Amino acid sequence: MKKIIFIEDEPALQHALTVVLNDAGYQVVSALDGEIGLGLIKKEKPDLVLLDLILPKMDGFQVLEMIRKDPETAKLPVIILSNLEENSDINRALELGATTYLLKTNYRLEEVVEKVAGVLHTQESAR
Amino acid sequence: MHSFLRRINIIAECEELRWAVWSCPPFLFLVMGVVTIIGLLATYAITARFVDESGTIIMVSIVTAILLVIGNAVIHGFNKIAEANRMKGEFISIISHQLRSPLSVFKWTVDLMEHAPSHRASPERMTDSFRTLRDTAENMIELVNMLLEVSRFEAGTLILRPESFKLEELTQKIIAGYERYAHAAQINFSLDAPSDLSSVYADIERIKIVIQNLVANAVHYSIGPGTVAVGIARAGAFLRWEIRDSGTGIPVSQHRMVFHKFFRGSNAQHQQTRGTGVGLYVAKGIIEAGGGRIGFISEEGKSTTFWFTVPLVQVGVARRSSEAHEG
Repeated sequence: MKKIIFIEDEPALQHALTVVLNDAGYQVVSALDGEIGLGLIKKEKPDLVLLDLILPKMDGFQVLEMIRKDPETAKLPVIILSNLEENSDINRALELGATTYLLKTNYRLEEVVEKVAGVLHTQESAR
Repeated sequence: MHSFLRRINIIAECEELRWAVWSCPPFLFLVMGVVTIIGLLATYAITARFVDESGTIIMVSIVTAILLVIGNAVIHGFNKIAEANRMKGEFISIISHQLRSPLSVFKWTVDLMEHAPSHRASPERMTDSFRTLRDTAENMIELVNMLLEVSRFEAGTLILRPESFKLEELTQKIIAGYERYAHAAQINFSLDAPSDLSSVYADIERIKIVIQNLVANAVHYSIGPGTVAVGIARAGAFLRWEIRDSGTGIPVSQHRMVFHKFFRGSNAQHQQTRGTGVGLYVAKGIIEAGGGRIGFISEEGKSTTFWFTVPLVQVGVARRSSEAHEG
């Protein structure tokens, strides 16, 4: 079973996506802030990270930067799930190495699950 | 040295203000300087032909002073407009994010209720989702109400409708509404209020907005696990309400800006975009319009305590109120 770390500070969003990802056969470990999320990534060795950008303690940009700096997680797929729509934010996340950037309001839950499956499939094919 | 060089870098300053060079105040200041020099040379050339040396010096000095004063006033005005425009731009960006956040909760929660079999099978989970939808709708209503308050302040049409009520009961209700979110963020509430507190005389709906703003700030900017402590106590002819968070504090350099419209602390922006930058502006307007005072004590990196005072029910007012009820 593929393992996903989901870092999101809005409990309702975290709950909703976790349920559908579980139903789709993924194991989800979640965190409400960036600091705990980064700790979980190191401990749990996930297959993919779903990352919000505006987070308490450590924002998503910092988490992404730390993921890419660590040789163990440098190639880990990271999907950004944010409501920040400024080009500067999107470009910054992509430059820091985000695999893809999704605006939460533009995607339904099942579309997010499809994106997750797509990214994991690409990752497997590349191996 | 670096900050000095940055201050004299006009192009960088214009880019920061997001203004084109020809409409950018610092550049206009440079143009003003050139115009001033030309004006002075022209004054010198003209007066030197018609009056003696000392008269020329006096004329040039007067013209210099006038040009400097006018130029400074004009540029100061331009700077204020540019800054206001930049803040408004940021405000629109924040508000659009603020609206997107609850809308994504709506969208995903409805998706979940409609399509997730494991969720649909559980009545408790479905009830929980309805509660999420209702709470989210409440949050959006609060946001819209606050924007309307700002608009009323600007138009000078704020009308308070004071009545007698128990501040501690209102506080308890508001705290209860935030407990679910606070619990998820590992934050506990404590409320310290003597049981014999008198009623206050204020516009309950407006005081509700103030308390909601202060409680939301305390929860969102606290670094859990921690406690948000609320206290209510008598202070002369007023009740003093206060809330202490375990948050990031407000940098000293930004203290004087805290109640300004559209202001958000630099460390707050870094961590949260839930804030709109108008909550404290609205709170100050409401409290002061009702005859109270509002303020804060903050230690950067540790905590912030916000407080306000509300007038107690006056004897005459209480009598009129009870007569009206009896009548």
